[in-house]
Amino acid sequence: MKDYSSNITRALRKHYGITQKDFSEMIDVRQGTLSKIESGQLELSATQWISLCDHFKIDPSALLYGKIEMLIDDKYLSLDNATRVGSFKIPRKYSYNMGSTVRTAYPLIKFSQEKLGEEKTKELLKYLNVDPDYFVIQSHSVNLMFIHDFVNQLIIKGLIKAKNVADILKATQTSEVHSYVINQLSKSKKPQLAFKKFTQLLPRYYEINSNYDFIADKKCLIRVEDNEHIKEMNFNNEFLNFREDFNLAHFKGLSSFLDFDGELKTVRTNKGWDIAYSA
Amino acid sequence: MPTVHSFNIWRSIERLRSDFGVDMDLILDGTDVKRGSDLNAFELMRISRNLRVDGKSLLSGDFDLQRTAKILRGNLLSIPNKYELGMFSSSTSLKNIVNQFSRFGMKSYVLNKIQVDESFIKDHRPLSVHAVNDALKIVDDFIVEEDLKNYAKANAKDFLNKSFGQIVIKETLKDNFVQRMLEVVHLVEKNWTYQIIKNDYGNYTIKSLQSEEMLDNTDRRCFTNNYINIMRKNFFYYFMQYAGFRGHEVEILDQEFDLQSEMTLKISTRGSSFTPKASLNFLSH
Repeated sequence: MKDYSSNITRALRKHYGITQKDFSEMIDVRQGTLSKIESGQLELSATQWISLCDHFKIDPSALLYGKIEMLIDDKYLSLDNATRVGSFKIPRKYSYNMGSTVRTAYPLIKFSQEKLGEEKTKELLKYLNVDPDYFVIQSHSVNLMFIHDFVNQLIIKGLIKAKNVADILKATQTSEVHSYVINQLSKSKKPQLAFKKFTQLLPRYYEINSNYDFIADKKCLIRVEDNEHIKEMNFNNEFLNFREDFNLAHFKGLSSFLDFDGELKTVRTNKGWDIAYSA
Repeated sequence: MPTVHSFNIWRSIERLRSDFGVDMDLILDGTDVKRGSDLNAFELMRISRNLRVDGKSLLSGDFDLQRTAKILRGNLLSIPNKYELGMFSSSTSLKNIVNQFSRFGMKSYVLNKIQVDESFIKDHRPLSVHAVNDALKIVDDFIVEEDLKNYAKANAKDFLNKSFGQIVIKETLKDNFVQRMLEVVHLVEKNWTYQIIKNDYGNYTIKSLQSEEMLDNTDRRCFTNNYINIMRKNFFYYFMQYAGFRGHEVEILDQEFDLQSEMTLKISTRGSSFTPKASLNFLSH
């Protein structure tokens, strides 16, 4: 288990766009001390950490996981357009139609960390002009173009192949980031109904890039169709294939969690794809 | 010399070892800390995780050592002593509160803070309203009206899915539904008493007082507030809706928060329809 106090301290300060001087006064440490804490040269004391958590209303256990839920920022997803969040600058190509939260990128980032290591993954994010600290705060928005570019970098490096798409999801524990949604899906004799609930929760907590309709007829369980804003983005074929496979892998993971024993597959449609199933 | 806070932690750890026989290795697992030394943030959180106690409570020494020792020995159903006094609420209430706030990632935070393990809230178990109140205090800053409604909906569903809830639907006619509902609710939670006045045209005025039993077991502290009353009002509304009512109304006429708090509710079934649900299985979805 790792100490994420420096990452979290930096991310919080940047999220609120506060200078080190003002931030150090808020948590009652010297500016020089804060600077060393942020760079990992000094450890945060137990008292300083609790005082920081109290001030910003965050769960102290975030220190062990490296991710923060911003408790007061919770909201329904909307299509954000912002080139700046606090003092985080977001490249223009990634700052329009932001229909997902950074949670969407977690499995990919974790997968990259496993394959390339933490430092190389940081370099990759910096290469895309995105601050790695931006991903510490779970409610931050991203657009699908960022996911597209990140995935393409992993494809170029030979890390993503058709065969291992499902493995990417295994890099992130479901309980780490999906606990709220999972909590609401009760296992029952009719797992299809849990899928229905899942499609209802998707636009609130995960993404509004696509519309998910629960159909449940003989051919189709869920119909996935991209929303209008996605047409403004030019994705290459590799990414389109990856996206469909990755989406299917999500549903397969969910089906095993729900003890749904039908075999899921995707069927291309004019506007997207159907998640179909066979008993 | 350790700081006052580190001293508090070491004192608690020492008591866990000497008074309750907890293995030191278990407490300090994953840290390289020397006994009695000052703790950094990481060490605090590792120990907090090992003990299943919230970091802030650990720092201040404000947690139930006996319960912690029991939990570490595998008794996950152990709860702090203060929540075993006046157990007139249900763990279901607590479960629905923490589930409602798990969207903020607060579920484990709240449970750690009040020292109740997740296993305890899986099924209906008696619990003091003190625990529900403590959980509400923690999430107080984040509560919006929708949370109170969602909580009430979840509680109404859970209540109806239990055998006592089904009795109300299966054996009760529209005319005496409100009375029967309150009787059954009172069988399960005895924090409140209900005096029902049936008016003409299907209107009921219900005067609800904090029960003597509850006040006797909670040092006569006033465990209620506006949030709890809104939840209770919504609970009755959704309970009736899920049972098969349409077009009914529930409103708070008056409320007082005093040594023995009271709330006056109006439940109107005038012009409403009632078609009892044949099966309640739908409620779990």
